[in-house]
Amino acid sequence: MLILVDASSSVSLAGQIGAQVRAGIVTGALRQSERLPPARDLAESLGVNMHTVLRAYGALRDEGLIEMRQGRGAWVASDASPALVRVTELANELMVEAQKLGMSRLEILGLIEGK
Amino acid sequence: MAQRQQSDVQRDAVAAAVSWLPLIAVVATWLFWRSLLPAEVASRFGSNGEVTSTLPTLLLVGVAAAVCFIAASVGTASANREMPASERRRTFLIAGVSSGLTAAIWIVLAAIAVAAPAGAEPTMGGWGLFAPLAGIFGLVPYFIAAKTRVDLSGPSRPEMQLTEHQSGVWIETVDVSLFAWMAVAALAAIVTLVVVVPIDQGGLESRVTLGVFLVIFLGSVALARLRVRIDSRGLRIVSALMPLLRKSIPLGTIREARTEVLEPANWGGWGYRVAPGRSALLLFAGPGLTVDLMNGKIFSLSLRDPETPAALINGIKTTSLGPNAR
Repeated sequence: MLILVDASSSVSLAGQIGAQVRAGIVTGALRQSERLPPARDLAESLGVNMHTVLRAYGALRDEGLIEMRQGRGAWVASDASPALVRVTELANELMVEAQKLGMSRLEILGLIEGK
Repeated sequence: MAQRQQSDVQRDAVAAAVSWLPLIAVVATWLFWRSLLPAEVASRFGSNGEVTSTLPTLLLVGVAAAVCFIAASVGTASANREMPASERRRTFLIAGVSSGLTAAIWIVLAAIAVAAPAGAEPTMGGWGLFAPLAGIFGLVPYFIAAKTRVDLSGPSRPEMQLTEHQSGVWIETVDVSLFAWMAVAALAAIVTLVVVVPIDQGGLESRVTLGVFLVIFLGSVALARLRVRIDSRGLRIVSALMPLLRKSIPLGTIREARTEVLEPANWGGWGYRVAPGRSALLLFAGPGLTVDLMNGKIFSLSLRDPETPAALINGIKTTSLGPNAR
């Protein structure tokens, strides 16, 4: 899997890394349970701060796409799938649009549960 | 799925036909030896070579023939089904290993029963080694079956356009089923060697044989899963199961990267190959990444999609050296 980051992009470096890992899961370049490179190693490869990679990994973990364990690294979740990536992207879009309208998290949740 | 070429269909048909050989061997030996075989044959042996249990001959040949029939049927069915060539070859391999092992177990047990003098117990001797080795038969239909067609129609020296603000890494985990199966086969041989011919009784010959299988086992495990990384530091290959085994080629020593079709026949086999001026990690026949080094040597590595890593290496080289550096 290829990961490219552009320091001049308006998208954060962590966001770029996260997006490409998501794309890797969608295209099948990253398989379920496949090990991701250690954060320190990936940071050195891309010439970015290790905390940037950890921030990207943390976001992917929160989305349920990867799992992380202290001392054991990160790997693609066994139930990560293109469908999960798509739902996560839609949820992120919903959050952004709703926040633009000034809606609180509780109001967004209420909107979803009301459906 | 693309229509298979006629030559591929023919290769698969031959592989399917070969898959029936173990069944033919079982039936032929049964017909040939049946008047000489006792009602029961020795099936297990103690550490001193004494017979510890027996099986009815008819049951043994029946089970062996059934396993070989099922394996051959599965192989033949795969030849006629639309599926990726790699999956079909794997089916042939598994079916061939199963039927080869089963047929060999029957043949060995029957042969020592026939060879035993009247009234004496049969002895296994070195024949016990033959059974696990017969699993290698699976490689025959595997190599006969049609391989995945390689499309390397793109440029042999691809290059990724990178700006000075961009950095990239290409990471890949390469699973090599051939070496995984070799490791299993070598482990089976080691277990058989230790159980059937205990080392303390086997002498120097057994120890050497055990050592050879141990080397094959460790080498196969090391190459069964590799992690490859390409970035601004260069090319690094690490054995996922034996991380101490690794190879690194710094970017500064690489002149350029290109794609190439790698044939084990041109390298004298699979695995880590070294020849004057060139070395390679041959994992399978097909596409590969070749890096030309500054010292005039080359290193090649089998990869399913070598274009992206080759393009990244060339892109990083151009970016780091400047567009006029070449």
